[in-house]
Amino acid sequence: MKLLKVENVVKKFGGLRALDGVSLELDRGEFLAVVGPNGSGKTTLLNVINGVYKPEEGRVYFEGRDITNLPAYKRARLGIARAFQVPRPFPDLSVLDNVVIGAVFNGGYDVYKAREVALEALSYVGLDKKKDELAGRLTFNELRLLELARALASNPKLLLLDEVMAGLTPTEIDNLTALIRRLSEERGIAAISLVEHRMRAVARLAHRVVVMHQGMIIAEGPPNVALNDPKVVEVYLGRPWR
Amino acid sequence: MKPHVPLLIYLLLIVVAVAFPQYAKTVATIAFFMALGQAVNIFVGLTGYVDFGYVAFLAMGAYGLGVVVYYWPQLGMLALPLGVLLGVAMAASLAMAVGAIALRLRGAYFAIATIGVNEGIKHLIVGANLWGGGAGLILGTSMFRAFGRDAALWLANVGSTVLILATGLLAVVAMYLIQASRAGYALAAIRQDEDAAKAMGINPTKYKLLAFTTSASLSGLLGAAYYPLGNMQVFPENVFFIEYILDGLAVMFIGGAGTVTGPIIGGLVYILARDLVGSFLPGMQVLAIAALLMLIVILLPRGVVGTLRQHLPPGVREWLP
Repeated sequence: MKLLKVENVVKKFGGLRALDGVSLELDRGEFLAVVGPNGSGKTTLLNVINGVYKPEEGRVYFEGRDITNLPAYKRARLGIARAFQVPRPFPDLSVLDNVVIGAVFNGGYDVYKAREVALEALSYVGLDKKKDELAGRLTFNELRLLELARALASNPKLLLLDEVMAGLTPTEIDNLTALIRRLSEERGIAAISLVEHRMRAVARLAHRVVVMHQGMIIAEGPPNVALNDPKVVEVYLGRPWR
Repeated sequence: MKPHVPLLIYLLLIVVAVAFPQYAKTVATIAFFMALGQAVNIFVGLTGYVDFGYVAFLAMGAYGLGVVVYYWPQLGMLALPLGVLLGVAMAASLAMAVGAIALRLRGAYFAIATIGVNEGIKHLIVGANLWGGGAGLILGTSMFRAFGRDAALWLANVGSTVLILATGLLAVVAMYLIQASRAGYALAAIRQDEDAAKAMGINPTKYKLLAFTTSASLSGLLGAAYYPLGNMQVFPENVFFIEYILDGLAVMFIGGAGTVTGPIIGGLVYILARDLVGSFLPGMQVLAIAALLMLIVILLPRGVVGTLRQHLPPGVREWLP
């Protein structure tokens, strides 16, 4: 059984078809990069998967169960965690407490177990030395890691990463990408990562790449195949001059 | 967090009140402000919301005990626990009714929505001539009948003081239980960013209502201990006195909002400051206290205990919650 199955999803905003018949499947532990220019429908797809939007047509299945009409917080409890593009921590709480909250409320652990889970998530992303620091004092890169630790502590089966690389330096992007790949390999957590900028750095480590354009999937496959597809080159670079 | 220090302070004060009844009233005056700050702190300190209708909870407690003793003195000693229970239940029910509606509002909107509660209930009691109406309940005779003369006088002096201190003590226990549970995390998250808290799967209204009802119940207990038991009377003008919420906020801010030991220090500083101003500039207390409060909020926004905690090493900090 596939972990996630998106079937012919259509999402309209007024006359605009932000998603125009998108179908997608994801295995357990698979790291998928969704690539596409601004406005191609990537974020809308993510929002349909985690329940912010309800599609006009099509269905979404998680572990074989139809979740198309399930509200967002119930999907979170099924194991769909989301890390936001702009991290939003509780600035006056310690880094540890920020993660404990994720473990208690979305992970469903009791307070004592949650602390253990949170400490483990923090050391996994490499923030354990900063656990007693106030979250408001972290750097932008550390906030991203905190956001990831928070998602991790909620015991997810699927991580949705919305442009988590934006605003990071090339080294930080490489480290974060390697971390996500490690999550999928060591823990079997699947991830869907949206990528707009520094596409190759991220896509290189993904198991599979999906390229979107105008609400449709125009190419799909292993990173080197999908990114070199002529249609993709055209969308990103324009028609080759002859 | 280790609640031993504040708990010991309250226990010690209870021993003083029982062992030296001649000082019981002095202890009660200070303890009233400590307990008020402590009760207010559980709601305002933990959620960051302000309630201007808060005094109504004190009044509910006062009327609960007052009504039982006044109308059913034949219950004897039983009138005391029953009356206190009724007062606390009335305060809690009012909090749930007001909170279930108004706590869906954010910050300042909530504060405005609650202003009417206090005045509304006062005018209901006076206007409808409920429970003695504007003339209030004079309880001396009923208390003598219910408890016997000596017991009534002891209760009004020492008993009331012990009950006020017990309110403070219970508030410390409540703070401890809340902060050690998932509710503590939920409230901390809500206080800082309610939308982000929602995204983490927290239901804000549920936890705000929990803090509000706990805080109101303690205020009800305090109201029962202070007016009917301690003063042997319940006057609408006294129990609905809107300044008490300002007192409670002042005590809380001086000590440190959200801290457990804060209201003890805050109550002490507040009563000293009021007494000092009262002897040198009689009639200027409210003005001087307002200035003091402004200074505290600007210079020590975390209050005395909150600021101390910032500078203490973690091992010591635990002992000063």
